[in-house]
Amino acid sequence: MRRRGQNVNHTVEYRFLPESRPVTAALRREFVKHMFFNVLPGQLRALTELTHVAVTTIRVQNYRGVVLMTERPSEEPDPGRLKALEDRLAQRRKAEAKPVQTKGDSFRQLDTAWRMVIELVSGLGIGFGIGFGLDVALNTRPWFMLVFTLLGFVAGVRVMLRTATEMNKTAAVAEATDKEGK
Amino acid sequence: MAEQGEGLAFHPMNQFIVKPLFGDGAVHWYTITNVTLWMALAVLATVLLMVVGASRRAIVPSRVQSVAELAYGFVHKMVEDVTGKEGLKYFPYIFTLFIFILFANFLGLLPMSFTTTSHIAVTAVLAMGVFLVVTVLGFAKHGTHFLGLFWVSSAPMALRPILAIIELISYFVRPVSHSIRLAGNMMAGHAVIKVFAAFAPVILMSGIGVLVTPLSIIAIVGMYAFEVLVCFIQAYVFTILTCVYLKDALHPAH
Repeated sequence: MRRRGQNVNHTVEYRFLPESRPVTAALRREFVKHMFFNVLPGQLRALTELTHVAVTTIRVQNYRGVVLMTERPSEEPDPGRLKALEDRLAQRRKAEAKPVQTKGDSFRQLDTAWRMVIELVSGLGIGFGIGFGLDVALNTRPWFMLVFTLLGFVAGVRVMLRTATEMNKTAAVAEATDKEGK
Repeated sequence: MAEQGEGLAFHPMNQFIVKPLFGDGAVHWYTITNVTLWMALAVLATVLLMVVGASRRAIVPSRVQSVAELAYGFVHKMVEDVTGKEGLKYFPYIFTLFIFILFANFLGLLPMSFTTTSHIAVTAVLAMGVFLVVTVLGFAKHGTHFLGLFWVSSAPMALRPILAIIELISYFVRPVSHSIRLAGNMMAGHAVIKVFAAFAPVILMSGIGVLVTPLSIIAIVGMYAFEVLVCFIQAYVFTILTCVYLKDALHPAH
């Protein structure tokens, strides 16, 4: 971003950190606006925290392009402040993550059970449907119907088991992240 | 939902009847019905939240804008967590699904409203859309390798065709369970509330109502709170399953 003063150029280079907030269009605009109008290293740092945008260099040049001043605000971040910010973020993330889990936990189990039942039954139904269709088409009732209903049942059980493993995995992951958070 | 004055005359499933809005003839595919109305309202609510609410793009968001950002961030993170970075390309579709289902569910909680997502016809179209998108995407990305999803190469050769049929059927189970679950949950909850509501005016008819009426009203309140939870969770579950299917299409290693 360039800002042309009376006879100095003010160049600011920045990049977006990976944890930038997803709604960046507005933030970016706001950030750039600040870049143009009032860049002071102290303000920048505050803005950086707010928007998760790292300013890599600020360069002030005169009209001939001679560099008058270079500053690298976030190349040498203040470790103490960073640590404090990280702690605060971690705390907030934990606080945000917790209630969602406790709220949905028992309910999710119920929902998973319900989901498994539907999967089993729809597997059976689809198998039966395919078999019945083949029987009608080939005039072989009841053979395909029998075979495919069985296959559908197996498929239903398979999907059900997959759902169960999935649930175990997410539960394990949730536990692991919980421990890590502590 | 909880209209009490009607007595026992109403049927708990009447709330799900599709009626034409103008006149009463047969319902054709182009007939404007209460389903059309409430789906349009869901779209309108989405526009109000995401377009009008977030239009100021303030750095310190207004209440509506923070809700919009929260919803955006929530789904964005979900897509990224489940499908990884390359799934983010399909985020607009998934977010559209989420917000539409969420609004359709919550609008259905308003008294006298119609719950569009309680109809299999609606949820099946949504689930079919996901199914087709995911299948087409799988073939477009991986060509015939996508069929590897059905060909279990770790099994002995003789078993593979049978396993392929089983895998194929389980592939088709997904859109079915996907749609039945959403519609079933919404319909069941609303029907239960109606059943309790039917018991509420008993106090006008007989002495036992002294006992039945407060109980049924408490049950309605409890059930309603539960439904609020269900509305959100079902929208969430529908979305996260979409993400899971999308992941399977992007990485069919199985």
